[in-house]
Amino acid sequence: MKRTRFRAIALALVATVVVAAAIVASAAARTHATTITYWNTMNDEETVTVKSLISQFTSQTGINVEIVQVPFDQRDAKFTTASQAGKGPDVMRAEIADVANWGSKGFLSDITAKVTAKDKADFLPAAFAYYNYAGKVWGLPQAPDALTIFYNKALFKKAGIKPTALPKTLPALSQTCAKFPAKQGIFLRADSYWVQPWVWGYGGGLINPATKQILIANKQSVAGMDAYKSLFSAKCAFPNKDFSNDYGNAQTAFKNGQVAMIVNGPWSTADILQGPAFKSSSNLGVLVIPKGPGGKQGSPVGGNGFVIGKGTSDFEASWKFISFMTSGTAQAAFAAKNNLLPSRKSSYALPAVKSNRLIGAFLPQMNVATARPVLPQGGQIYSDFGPNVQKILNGQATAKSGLATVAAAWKLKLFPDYTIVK
Amino acid sequence: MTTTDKTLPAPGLRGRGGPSLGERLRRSFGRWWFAYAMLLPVFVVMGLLVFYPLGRGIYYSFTNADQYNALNPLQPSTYKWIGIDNYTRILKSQEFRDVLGFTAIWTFVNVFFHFTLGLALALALNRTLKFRGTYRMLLLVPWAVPSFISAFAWRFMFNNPYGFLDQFLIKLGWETPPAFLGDPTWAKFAVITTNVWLGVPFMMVALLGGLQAIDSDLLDAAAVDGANAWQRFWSVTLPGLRPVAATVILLGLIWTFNMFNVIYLVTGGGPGTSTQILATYAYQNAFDFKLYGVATAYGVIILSILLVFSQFYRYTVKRMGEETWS
Repeated sequence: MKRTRFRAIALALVATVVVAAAIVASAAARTHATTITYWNTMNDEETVTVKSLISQFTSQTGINVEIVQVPFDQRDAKFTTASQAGKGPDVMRAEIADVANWGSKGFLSDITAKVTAKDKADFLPAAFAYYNYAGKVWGLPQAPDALTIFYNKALFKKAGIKPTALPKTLPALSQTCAKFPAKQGIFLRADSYWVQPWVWGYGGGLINPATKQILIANKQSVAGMDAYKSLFSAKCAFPNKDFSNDYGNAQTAFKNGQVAMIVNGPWSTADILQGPAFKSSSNLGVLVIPKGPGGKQGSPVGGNGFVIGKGTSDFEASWKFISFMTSGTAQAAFAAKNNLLPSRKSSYALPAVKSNRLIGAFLPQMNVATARPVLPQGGQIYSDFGPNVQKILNGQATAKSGLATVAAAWKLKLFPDYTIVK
Repeated sequence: MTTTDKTLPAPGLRGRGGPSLGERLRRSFGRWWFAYAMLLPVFVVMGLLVFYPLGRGIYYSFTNADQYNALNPLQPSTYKWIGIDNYTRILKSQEFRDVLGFTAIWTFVNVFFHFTLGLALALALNRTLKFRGTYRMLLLVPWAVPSFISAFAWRFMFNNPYGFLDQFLIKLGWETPPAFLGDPTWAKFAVITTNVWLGVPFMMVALLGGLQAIDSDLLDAAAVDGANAWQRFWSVTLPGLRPVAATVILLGLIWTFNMFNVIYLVTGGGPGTSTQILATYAYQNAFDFKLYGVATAYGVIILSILLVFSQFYRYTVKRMGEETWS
């Protein structure tokens, strides 16, 4: 009995000492160096690059960066919830549509005074535009991107398609697909972002802020959706029957050489080039998404950049970090390892960028890509769009009824003062 | 509390002409202040953690709160009271009926299989056999693994065409196996299968406990009286299991009704909205659409349905308690 009591007291003492030591140690650690948190939304291959850049940054500046991985598709939900509770990160990686959304709600730090005229002139206007909202600058662009078509050159040769006979229009793309054996032509995703090249290519649209119109349910949008659906369910298309895993499945099928074409962006190339079908990287071809029958080109401009949270504990350190992450050094690293397009004009003169064949091949796609409206609701339109695209593609709804549902939901939730164009 | 104090009349049993209300309260407080003081911390904590958020949630459900007008510490709140508009909008909508319908299917099908499979396994284990401990341990694995890991494992197995199930069915000669996660009906099958797998071990353990509490003399006596195995099961084992079974079934109904992770991680409510249940749909309204008023209204609807369940649960427990004591 006595012994147990002695043990208990000893244990309590030890525990107290340990806790006290831990508190002292953490307090000591905190006084030594600045630490900022950074929420990263990059994919695995990009994250490898970002981690090596961060260690470079820390050794240069002495600022520690705590990296927190946030799934790309949950970034808005997580960042909004954390910011509402006053617990947002110092630095966040934002998709272009997020900037106006978060900026309008006051979640971001205004960096207008920090951006020099030289920087403003150096950033590509198409990329930098998204970081300006309500007359202020809210962040810096890292890498602009656009969806494009990747193709397997060897499979094209095998199917007898000459490099000069690549499809120039969306209907021609369907015919090209039909030249491949069943299931081996193209892998299309059941995702709202991925159907946009067709919706826009056929002359449709999402919304028009200038005229306050919702365009997603108009005739051209429906025609584009129908065209997408007919290619999606064509015999030459890889049967996409698992929508929640279809990003990974498309990559797998393409990497293994099971399918000749996929639609994806520059960020995915580092992963693709690890696949057995691309042991020789020159086998990867880049094809600008073809125009619709009316001559319209519709790949959506996308991209990511860095913003500073309103509640940042150290604005200066955060600013240094986002400047570094959008510097020529960082862009050269992302170009060399991930084939990401730089957001600075000056970076295109860097050897790592200049010599990159894939970046050169993306540029024609970037030049014709369609800008998305800079609107607070810009990113949230996909919440209702996505499930309805799935319903259309698996036959639970027609293109017309599904897109009408999207239009009604947008009017109800996001754009009450807009009119729906039929 | 069966002891009654003779000096103080029990509340409610007092005749006319007793002390006034104020006097009674004062006396009661003088007598019980210590108990109230002891309870105070609990009341405070419960108030802060349960009742205040609950009250706020119910209040929001009567407003048009959304991302632009509410819950932003950096901007003034401008949301306003809109009465029961959120509720009428939800109750009238087709999507609510769809979601409610699948929630009902989800809950009852899951609990049915949890119970029947759990009972079968419990019966199999409730006898002396070699390596009983090993079997029991193995059968508990689904319960011991964190549910999100199991959910991801199932999602990979259901993957079409690279998942295990798909490849396996092709090996068996089925040329085009069903789209487990892409077809609305098969997706329902997929999430229910996952959750059945997750939930059976708990039922098995609970029912095994119940089975071991049944007096084996009763079974022996029945055997001596000439009852066959089925009759012994039906007339001795099942009635003996009733107290445990009723409790675990009702708890299972409540848990399954609110089971969020499996749906969210396996299908995300898709394809379309075909596997949304009320809990995931409320989440989607709150965090994707950021319609806080609508989402809290869904929360209140979920709460009301669960209140019915729990009232039923209390009633059952009370009835069983009376049976036990009488």
